[in-house]
Amino acid sequence: MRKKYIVGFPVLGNYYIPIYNFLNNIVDKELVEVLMPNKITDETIVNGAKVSPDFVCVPFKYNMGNYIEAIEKGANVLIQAGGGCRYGYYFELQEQILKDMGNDFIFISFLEEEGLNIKKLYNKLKILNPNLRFSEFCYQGGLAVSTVKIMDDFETYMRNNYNLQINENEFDKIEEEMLNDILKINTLSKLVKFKNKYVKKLKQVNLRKINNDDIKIGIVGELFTSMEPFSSFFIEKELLNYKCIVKRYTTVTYLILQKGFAKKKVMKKASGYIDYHFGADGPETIAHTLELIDKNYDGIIHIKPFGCSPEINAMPILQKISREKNIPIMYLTFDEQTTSTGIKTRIEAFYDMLKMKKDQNYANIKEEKVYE
Amino acid sequence: MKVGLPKAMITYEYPVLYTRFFELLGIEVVFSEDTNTKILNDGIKYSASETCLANKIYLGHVANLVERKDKEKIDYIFIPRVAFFDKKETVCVKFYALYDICKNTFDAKFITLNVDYSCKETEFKAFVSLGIRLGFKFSKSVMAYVRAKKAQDEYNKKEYNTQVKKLLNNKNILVVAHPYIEHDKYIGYPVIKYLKDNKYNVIYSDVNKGILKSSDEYKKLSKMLYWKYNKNLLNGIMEYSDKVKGIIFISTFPCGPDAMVNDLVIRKIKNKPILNLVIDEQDASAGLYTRLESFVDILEQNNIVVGGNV
Ligand code: SF4
Ligand code: SF4
Repeated sequence: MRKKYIVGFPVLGNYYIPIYNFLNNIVDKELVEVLMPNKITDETIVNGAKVSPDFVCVPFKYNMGNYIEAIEKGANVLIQAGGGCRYGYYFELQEQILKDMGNDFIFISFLEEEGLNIKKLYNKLKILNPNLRFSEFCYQGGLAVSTVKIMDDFETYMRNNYNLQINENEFDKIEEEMLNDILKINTLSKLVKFKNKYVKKLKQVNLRKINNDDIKIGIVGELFTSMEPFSSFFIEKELLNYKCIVKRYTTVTYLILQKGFAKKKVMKKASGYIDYHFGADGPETIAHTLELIDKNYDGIIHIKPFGCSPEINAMPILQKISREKNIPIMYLTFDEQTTSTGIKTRIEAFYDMLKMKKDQNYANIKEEKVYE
Repeated sequence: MKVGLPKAMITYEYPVLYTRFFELLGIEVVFSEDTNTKILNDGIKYSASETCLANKIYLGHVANLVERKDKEKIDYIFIPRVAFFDKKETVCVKFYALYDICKNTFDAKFITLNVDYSCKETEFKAFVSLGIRLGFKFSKSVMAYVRAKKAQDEYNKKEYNTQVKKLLNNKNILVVAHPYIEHDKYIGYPVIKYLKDNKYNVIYSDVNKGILKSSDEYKKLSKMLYWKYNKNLLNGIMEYSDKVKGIIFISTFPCGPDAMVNDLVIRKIKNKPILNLVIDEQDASAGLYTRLESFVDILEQNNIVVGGNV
């Protein structure tokens, strides 16, 4: 029988999986079916873009595509769980557009005007389970956040070592399995088992040693929504056949858990260039770039979705850092017209340039020695 | 001492406050020139290519002052940093970064003040500490701020009263745009001039009751809105929309906040002819005028219908 409430929500990097799991753990299953959102495809984006304002930052359009697909599958409760700098406003306009299209649904936003409010969120989600106890809600919420934290650690580890794998695709397989396993977590002890299992698995992956002549590339920017519909290891994969190490920052736990506390540290690191915070992760981008330079990285890739103001704010400052510290930075913007071939070509060219620069530097050093 | 103010973005939001503050401290104020082709091109040259046109023009104005600073002995260029007015009330993040971007782009001496209630930096504190940094006594800085603030309030009152008087006209047209857009020589001026040349009475939505006493009228159009300057524009729409023949929205390419807010509002206003203009750096005026002409045609036709009913 058709359930009373069918819940749909948008993809947000890989985080939609723990979100799905969280919802599934708290709703009354007699009453509610939670839909797993489709992976974002070119079609999702095109459909979303059609009904969105032209110049809104792109995650808005991706969300719209997902909502439309959810509604097609019968969703009558839509959830906005995102938290970028404009997400607070996304919600109101998205609701209006979808209603103007003739849809009837209940829209629930995780965020309030003033940010996350646990008590209010609990009251809102009670509609999906009238018997939900506050303690249970908090338990599941905490579990979801811890899951995300662990998942982030694993993903970071895999990303940072992706190009060191000896057997291709091992990490891809582990990631797929891991995401599936997340759906089985509903108690703390299961989470602990999950963690132990994957720590072991990850340790078993054979990695080659880092060489001195490996090119080191860092990725900074607004990362977790920009690269849909490409896979989460997209850039790492593109660089797979080259001798290089890739490091990237920004994860959701970083966003929701550590932000306030890490803000001071970030501003301090970036203080040689900026005095004030300029929105979302803009200053993080600056701080991370400086950190990568300290660690002798050869080049940096800056990524953002089209229309992302905080990252646009960061660009003139990155350009100055690039000049002063003599480090190449490539700027990639993702929008609904971005193709993987276009990005591939640019990444390849960037790599070649870094390689040439590094070889030349070596040559210079040798020459200097001759003159000594 | 001489301070230069770029005639763009934030300066237009407080046309009296900043200037008056400096003048009361005995500091001379000079402005950048009106937006011209050179300023526009410099702005494009110095900005990230993807930022909005208003932001680019701002950098063009700063460049104008930087160029003139030695010859005209401008000691500092003033770039306020404005972010939060209350926990829920902020401005577009492009304003957050103006000072830091300029500092990193140009070789000149900049001064700033920081209004950020999220870090307990109130407007009062911001101005007073600016005065002190410029070498003035605490009491003198306080006086200058209080008086400048009062002058700004009086200016607002005058602007508002003038606008209300103008409303008696039956050729009213409402322009919804940030002041730095509607009054800019390159962006809004051609539109305003066209309307005036065609005998329309231009009503500015940013000049409304809300600038005298804070107002929540905007909530009837958008309850989640947290951008201060967009709230103000919506307050204006609430106040004037039933007294005008049509509404023109002007924004710049690509403006995130306006794109969202205007889209929402346009969906909610029924029964009024609306024109939504988005101006970019290559705006061929031919295209603009065609759109304005056909909009005016619609307004005139509407007139016939309304007149017929009467
Ligand atoms: S961080 Fe960027 S992409 Fe995300 S909501 Fe803000 S402007 Fe949009
Ligand atoms: S509100 Fe729009 S026009 Fe104004 S600075 Fe922000 S992006 Fe630019």
